[in-house]
Amino acid sequence: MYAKIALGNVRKSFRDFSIFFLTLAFGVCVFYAFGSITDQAAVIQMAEDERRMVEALSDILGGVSVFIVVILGFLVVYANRFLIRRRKREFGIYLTLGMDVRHVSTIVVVETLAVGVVALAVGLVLGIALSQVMMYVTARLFEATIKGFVFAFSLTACANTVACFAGIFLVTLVFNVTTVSRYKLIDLINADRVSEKVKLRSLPLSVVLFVVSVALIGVAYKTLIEHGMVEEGPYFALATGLVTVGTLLFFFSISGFLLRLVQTSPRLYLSGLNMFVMRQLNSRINTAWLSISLVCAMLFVAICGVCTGFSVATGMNESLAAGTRYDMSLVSYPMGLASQHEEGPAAADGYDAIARLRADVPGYDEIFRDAVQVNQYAYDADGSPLVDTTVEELFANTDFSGNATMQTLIQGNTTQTLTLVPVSEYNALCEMAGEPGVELADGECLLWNDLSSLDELWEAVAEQNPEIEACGRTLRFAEDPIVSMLFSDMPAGGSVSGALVVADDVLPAGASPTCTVVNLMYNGDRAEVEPRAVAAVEDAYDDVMGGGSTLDAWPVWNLTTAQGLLEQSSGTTVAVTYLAIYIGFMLLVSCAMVLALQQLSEAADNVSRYRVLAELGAERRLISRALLAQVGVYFLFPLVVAVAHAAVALSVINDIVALLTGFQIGTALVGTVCFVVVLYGGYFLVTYLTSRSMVVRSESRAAGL
Amino acid sequence: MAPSHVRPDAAAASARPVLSCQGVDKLYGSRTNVTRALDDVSFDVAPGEYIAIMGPSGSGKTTLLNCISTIDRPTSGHILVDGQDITSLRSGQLSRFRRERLGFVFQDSNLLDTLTARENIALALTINHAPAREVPARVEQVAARLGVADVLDKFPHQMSGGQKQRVAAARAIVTNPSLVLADEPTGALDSKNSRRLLESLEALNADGATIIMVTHDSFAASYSRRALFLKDGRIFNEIVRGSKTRKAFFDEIMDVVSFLGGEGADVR
Repeated sequence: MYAKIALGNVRKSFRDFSIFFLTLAFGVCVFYAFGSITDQAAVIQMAEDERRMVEALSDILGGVSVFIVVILGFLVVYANRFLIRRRKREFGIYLTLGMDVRHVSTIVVVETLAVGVVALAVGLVLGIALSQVMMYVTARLFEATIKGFVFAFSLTACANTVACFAGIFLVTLVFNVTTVSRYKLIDLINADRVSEKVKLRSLPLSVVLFVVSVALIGVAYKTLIEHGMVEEGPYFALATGLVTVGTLLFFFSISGFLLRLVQTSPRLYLSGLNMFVMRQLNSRINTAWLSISLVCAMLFVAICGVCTGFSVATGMNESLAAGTRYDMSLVSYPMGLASQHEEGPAAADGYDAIARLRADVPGYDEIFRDAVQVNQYAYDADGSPLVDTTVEELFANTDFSGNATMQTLIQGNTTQTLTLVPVSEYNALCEMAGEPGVELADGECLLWNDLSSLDELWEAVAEQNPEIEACGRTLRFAEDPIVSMLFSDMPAGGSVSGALVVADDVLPAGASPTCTVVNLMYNGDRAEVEPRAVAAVEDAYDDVMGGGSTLDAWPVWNLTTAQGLLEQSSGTTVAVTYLAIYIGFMLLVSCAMVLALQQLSEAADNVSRYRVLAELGAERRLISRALLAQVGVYFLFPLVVAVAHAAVALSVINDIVALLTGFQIGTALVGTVCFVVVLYGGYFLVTYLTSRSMVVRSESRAAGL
Repeated sequence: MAPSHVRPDAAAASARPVLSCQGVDKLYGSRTNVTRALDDVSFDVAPGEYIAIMGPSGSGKTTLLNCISTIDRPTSGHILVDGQDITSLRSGQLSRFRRERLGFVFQDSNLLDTLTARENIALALTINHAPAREVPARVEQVAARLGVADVLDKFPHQMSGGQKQRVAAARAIVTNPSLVLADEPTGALDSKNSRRLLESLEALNADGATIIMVTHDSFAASYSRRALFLKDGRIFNEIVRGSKTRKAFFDEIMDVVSFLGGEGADVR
């Protein structure tokens, strides 16, 4: 019998249940679709290393999914809570009719179960459809092809989804049963009459809390901007903590604060429907501040995620173009690592790496058309440093107001002394790359830095330390002190930062290079020659490359090819973009969903209120505006705060991204803004229009039209 | 609102009526099965009058009130308020008409639960674009007249039913409407609170407000100056209180009611 009542209830209050149902189905759908990415990859024909990429990606997604499940869980419980609260009176009637609390619980359980199972089934079907679409999107991203129509079903994803939602569901069930059994009959019966208790906090307290919250957020911003994210110490954690508490407090206090503030101005408060709108907001925000804070946090992560993801992906592509000027770069350390400076096999060759390569690599002249060797010198024949100044000392003597992140990152390896590069070698490199060379006047030197984001720093160094002692001579920086030719192929540039380019005769006889790079150009098409070239070099040096002692790894310690870098990063780009979109999309939709649910489930209550307004003769325009303000505030408030937080966080993230890839986040901002506006704005619009049509319908009834 | 010293029934003939219903018909249902809720109803209400519309359930009294209040439209006939035919107003004009000319008191006070009493009353003014600086004083004044000055800062759920109805009455008259429409205002009140509300309405009428009250309660009707009786959508009878005491008027009303066979027929 209870089952019959329960199912009847679901049928009767379909609209109320539909919100719960939609949330659940939506969650299941998205969760399944992203969970099935690995299995989709099996269907798509893609290269082996791309496949590994996808597997790594789905591992990360797995971690992120835990986070998503928590949010979805919250969503479901939240939607459910509304449902239960709306029906208090109904439960009250059951109890007065003599039903036991246990029986009412049974009804609730059956109801939730029925809706849940159907939602799970519908969600899975939709999820399979969505994953089918996503499979083609993934294929496009990886530039792979799918032959014909393939139906992909992932059993693991399905099982995971069912397990996760069974868990969420259990929580909901326990929540419902405890809520129902805790209600007192008197509250249930009066549920319709007593609206949510409107607590009014005292104005001074609200103002104080508001000021405190703004101060906390301000301090957090300042800490973050000053210390960045990577500096050691408690700064980042501190900033995060402060901003969290500050935001919570902000939304908590603003509910009491804003109403009182507007009330102090009768002009504003006693005009049109302002009073009504303010009260309307206040009646809910007392309980809604927590969910608004949560929405704000999710929006923040979404904006940061999407923006960082886009910019890292774009930045990688751009810096990659700059970091792959040579077809192949071979780096070695002829004297071992900096601290060793011993003589090894390189000394026997007179440090001529190209001659060694020509002798060792089979078919060298056929494979390579051009090669330039560039050496960095740090010690003279006796092993004493050529330049006494260390990078650290230079920085210490430089007043640079750059960002915290950059300085922190640089501080890591600044104890070494500056190295010297003969200008002839630098010019040879320029010539090979087809760039104009440099000329040095007597006693001049240049600073070599191929990481563009550090240019400003080095310019400041050269400007404030115009002279430098090297090999017993005083050198001054040329008028344009920075040169930026790529030292060796690197995914993001940055293979040399702070070497001095000096006239060849500055270097004393007998000095031997600590670091050598040979940049080579292929004889023919890059992609075509690549396999042969790599095979030949590996064939010759497989035993010394990359392992054992750096001293013995002459002339190849490390092999980098432009083609290799490009292939490697296309996978990374896709992975990062995918991740960013996944997180961003999920979070944004969840936020919008929470807000839309909140507003729509309130709409029923609001309808009667707006009808009273219509009966009092408020114009439709006025009513629409009031509704827009009410819905708008809920959507806009968390967005504004989240955008403020994100702006600060992104300015710091920007430092890191710029340092790693030379890419400025600003460019990705346009894309992110479009993304947010379309998705979030769409939800806002739909919510507003839906509520308005509900209100207008009832208003028309009131007007007899 | 200056008190009117003209007795309504004396002035009724001379002044232009506030409300004039002319041959109002209201039909419901399909072509084959027509229900005639209002059948050629015609009457005038003079400024400052206090009219009770009585009748048993289904007699059409709520339909009539809905037509007057522009919540519903008559099928044929005309309703003139201050000489303006409201049956031909479009929806934009309707809301303007409602907020400028009418004041409502409903059976369930219909106050907004999120607003305090003060704000509920003020809302009627702000919707009417009253200047903000006038609002507080006018709210205080009308609240004092209806005896709700001490509950102004309470929310509806903190007030008794009677207080809520009096706040609703205050909201209805604060805009100085041409016509106050009350639909079973005492329906949900106990006798003490009923009397209190009716006395308030009587006082408002004495100050010049024109009131039309729909009720099936003879006691409530006895506070009016004139009672119209509806039966099956037609005006069945009309009695004027004139100089009679309220008790005498009540007895007269009861006679008609028992003749009609409505409620209270066996109270006598």
